[in-house]
Amino acid sequence: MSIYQADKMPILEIKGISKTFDGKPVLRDLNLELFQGEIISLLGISGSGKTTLFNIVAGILKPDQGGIFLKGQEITGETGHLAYMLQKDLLLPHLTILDNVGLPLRIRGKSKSEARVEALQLIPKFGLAGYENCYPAQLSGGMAQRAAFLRTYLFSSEVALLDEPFSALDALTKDQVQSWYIEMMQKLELSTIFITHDIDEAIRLSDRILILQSQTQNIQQQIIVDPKLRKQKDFTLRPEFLEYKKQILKYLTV
Amino acid sequence: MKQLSNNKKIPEKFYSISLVAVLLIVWQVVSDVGIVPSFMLPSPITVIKVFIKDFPVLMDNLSITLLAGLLGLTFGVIAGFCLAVLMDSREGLRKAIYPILIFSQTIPTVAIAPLLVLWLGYGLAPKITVIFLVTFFPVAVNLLESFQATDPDQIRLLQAMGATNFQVFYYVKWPGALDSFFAALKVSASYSIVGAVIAEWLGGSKGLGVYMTQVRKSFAYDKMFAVIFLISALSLVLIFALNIIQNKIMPWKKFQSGKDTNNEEND
Repeated sequence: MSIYQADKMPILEIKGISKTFDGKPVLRDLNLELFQGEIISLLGISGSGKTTLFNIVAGILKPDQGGIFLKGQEITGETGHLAYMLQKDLLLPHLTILDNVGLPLRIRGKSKSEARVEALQLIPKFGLAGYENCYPAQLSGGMAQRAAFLRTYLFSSEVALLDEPFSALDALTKDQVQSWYIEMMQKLELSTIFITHDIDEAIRLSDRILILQSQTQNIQQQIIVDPKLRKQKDFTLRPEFLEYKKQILKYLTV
Repeated sequence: MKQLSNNKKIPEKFYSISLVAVLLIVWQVVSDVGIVPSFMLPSPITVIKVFIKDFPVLMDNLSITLLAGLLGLTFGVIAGFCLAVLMDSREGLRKAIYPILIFSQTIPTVAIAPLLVLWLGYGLAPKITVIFLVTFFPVAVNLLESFQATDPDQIRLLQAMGATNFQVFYYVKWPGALDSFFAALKVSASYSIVGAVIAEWLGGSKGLGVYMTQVRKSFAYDKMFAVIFLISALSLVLIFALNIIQNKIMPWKKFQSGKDTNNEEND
């Protein structure tokens, strides 16, 4: 049930984030609210702005101004709260899939066997049954991305930051992984901020699309995608889909 | 299909083994015919005979050389590892130490070995020092380069998980550097034996280097060749052993190379 609920308290708040590198403002007064189970896409963000924003939200970098709040608690500059997934699967080649997905638990201080037990429970749910003892080199790109997603989920089951997670896959695999991802998101109710440059992907996957202004990296437009339409199987072929796309393109070219 | 192509394929080692066999035959003929006097270039068969006859003496000396070599190698590898970790952890340290490290390798070992004998005596100490000096460098440089080449995104991901610097090292940097570590270790292992022999040339009571000096002075070139072969064989055995250890420690490696061969088959 992922609908924009204005009356509810957001699970994640990004309040007035600014960051300057060598006198150049990369982010200026960025505000964003993410609600429980919601998927937001950020479109039109620059390369440096993207990395900086996610580094700040994940707690690796400290902002010059502003703060990050998870369920009302300030977590600015603290790592380990929000799951992070990048374009590359970044599975460690020397660990089996089971140990790879359990890595966040190990980092959090759990023992190897505890991490394995916990990870093993979720392996079938993520379509990885039978692959737990394989090494990443034995997996296809799509399977590796599933494993990376399970690792993200074990990292935090509340909020995930996804940085162009499907952009390295070929078109056909991408389509399959996206369908699978939509299905998983409904099951898991994971709240997600999603950075992408792919307009189709943004419309297909998100509840809300935020369009950033190219100069200041401020959010200037918001598009809410109708959840009923999104559930339709032929959504990407419908005129409404094209309508969304036109609207986004208009905003992006302004 | 697969079996057929396998039967037709000539094993990779066939070429190198044949070349070695041809060279040995040519050598034997050259010695037998007398193109080169046999006292200067003893034939392979003579060398083998001497090797068998002198086997106990050779083994006796070998154990001393091997001890010095392994001790020096151990210290060298530990020092190289620590230095690489230190230089990787602090940018300033890397900038300070790296040039000195490179410079240290321009000093010829053979030239400082007599000095070490002068300072440390004729015992094991100067030998270990020489071996240490030649073995720590490949390990330090190779490891440092691997540590520095770690994917920054991979580090970012672990940091976001809340990993400490040690955890980043333990899960990402060190496993990622294992390949170059073993490559360096193989180089260092053969250096260690050569280093030990050079150090023994300059003084000592036992060891392959000492034995070599003795037989050279008595113009027993057949014995000289027997020692040279033994030293080569020793280096080969060490490298072979390291290969076995590497395959044990890095079980995932065979899948990575397996992926490559799959691609080749597809082509």
